[in-house]
Amino acid sequence: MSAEDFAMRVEDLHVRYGRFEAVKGVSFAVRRGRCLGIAGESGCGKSSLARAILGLEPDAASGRVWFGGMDVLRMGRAERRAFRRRAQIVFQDTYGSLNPRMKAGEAIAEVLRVHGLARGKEAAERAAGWLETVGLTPDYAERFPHEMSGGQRQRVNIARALCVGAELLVADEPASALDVGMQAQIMNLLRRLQRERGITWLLIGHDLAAMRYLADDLLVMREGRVVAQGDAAELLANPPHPYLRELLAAVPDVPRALARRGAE
Amino acid sequence: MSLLDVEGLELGLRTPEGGTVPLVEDVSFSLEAGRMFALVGESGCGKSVTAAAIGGLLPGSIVQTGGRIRWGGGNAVRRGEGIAYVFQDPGECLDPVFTVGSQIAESLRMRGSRRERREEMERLLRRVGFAEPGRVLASYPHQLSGGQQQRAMLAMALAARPRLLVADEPTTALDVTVQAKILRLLAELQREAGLGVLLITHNLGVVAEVADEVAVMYAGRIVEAGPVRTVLRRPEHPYPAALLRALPRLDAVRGDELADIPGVVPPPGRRGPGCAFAPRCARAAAVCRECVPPWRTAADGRGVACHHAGGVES
Repeated sequence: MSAEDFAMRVEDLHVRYGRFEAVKGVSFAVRRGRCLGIAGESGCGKSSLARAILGLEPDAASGRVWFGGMDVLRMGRAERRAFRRRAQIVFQDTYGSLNPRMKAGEAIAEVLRVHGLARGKEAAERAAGWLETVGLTPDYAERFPHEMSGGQRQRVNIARALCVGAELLVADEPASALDVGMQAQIMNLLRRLQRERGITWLLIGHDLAAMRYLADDLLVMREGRVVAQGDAAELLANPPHPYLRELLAAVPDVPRALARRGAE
Repeated sequence: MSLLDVEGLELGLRTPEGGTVPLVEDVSFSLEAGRMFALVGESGCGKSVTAAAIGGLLPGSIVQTGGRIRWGGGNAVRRGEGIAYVFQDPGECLDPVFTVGSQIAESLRMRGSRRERREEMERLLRRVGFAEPGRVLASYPHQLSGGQQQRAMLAMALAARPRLLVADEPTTALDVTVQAKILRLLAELQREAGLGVLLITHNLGVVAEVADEVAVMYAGRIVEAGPVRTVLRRPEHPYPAALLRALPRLDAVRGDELADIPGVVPPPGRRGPGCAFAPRCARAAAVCRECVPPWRTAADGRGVACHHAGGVES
């Protein structure tokens, strides 16, 4: 594979907060148009890693994060601004990134305006288009965050992230705070966007069953280090590391539990 | 004989005008000693308020407007008697300024001598999996991990020698490996001590792992209930069936679609006259939108509230 086949390459990334090292030398590459899952339990360093590769931990991160021929950790101001458009993040907390006094349509138009991509009527029209893309009807443009469900707010967050032309989307536990029915809606939406728009994305999460559906490649972390890395389906079918086996065994899974208890 | 019976429970949210908006409607179930009964559903379905009502822990804004909660012998449940709770966030339930030991001692209600109490506390902590109970007794909550805090909460709950343990999303805030350990512990305690456990959860996987019976709630009502294996293997109500299809499973193949559940749960006060699931149900007919489906019991031990259940219509 040539360098163009990768949307991002990370080399020996460390994230240190004072004396505590959250990420201890992690390397990986994200294939263009694919979903890389980064899995692990709380404290494994997955969220620190997500923030660091987007340049959101400028003082704590070291190593190399290659994106479009540039190192994210060593960008100048202008480059950083362009990078912010091309790589975006959505979080678990669907409220946190929305202004409670701003309607969904305005919230999307605002991002377009801030990045100098559209203003006024054009921004509003493009915002309406993005609402449709993420599966919301036009009347949602007039809704405040509290007038929407968690799943609907997350759709607005995804629209805000993508409307600036992002090629890489980092989704940090994007559906974990949602109910089962909504989780499935959001995960299906992310996969549709990947297929239809060629978005490359990183799914940060703890749910290995969800990784099974969504991730093309998988990286499993523990205590700041990578313990397993490779093709997601292959890793989950034949877990090469005892920790991954332990994680898989601990996932509460309906078919497996019923089969086990039927045999008891 | 059952340990606890809930019959026709109705809970309402007080409105400023002096009325109530129904939150929980016609909820009935029985708990057995030594068994784990799971109340499962998505947020807002009424499972947690039902659990709170059982122990008399309803907040002031919610009132019981109908139904009865009684011990198996027929006596009314007196507030706080015989029932212990563990909640989702142990960090919030433990007082940060007291040691774990002094908080468990409070649950022991001054039984026995100081030395006996100390021995009892160490026994309880060992029972919930602590190898060094002395060290835990002297610890403050922040010195313990989330999983250790939840174990300490369980020890505290057991110290009160309850007949019924209500566990409201006890593992939701924990990592999966810790969750598996806590669930195993809960199941052991329930079997050993003949304790009845009411497990409140949104996670059908957790139900499948440890519960004996399950009741699935939707928009304030139980829509299907029965033995876990019967209900989860082949649910008859379209809602639990849809929940199961929406759940990511470990034996999935990449590229499989998750079957999402279109639409949203109707909020209290905006539930129609018929089946609350009808607006999201592929099988909904006119009768579903007009009449609340009656509760039917089947030969396999389950009960279902659906106009289409029981071979009435295919």
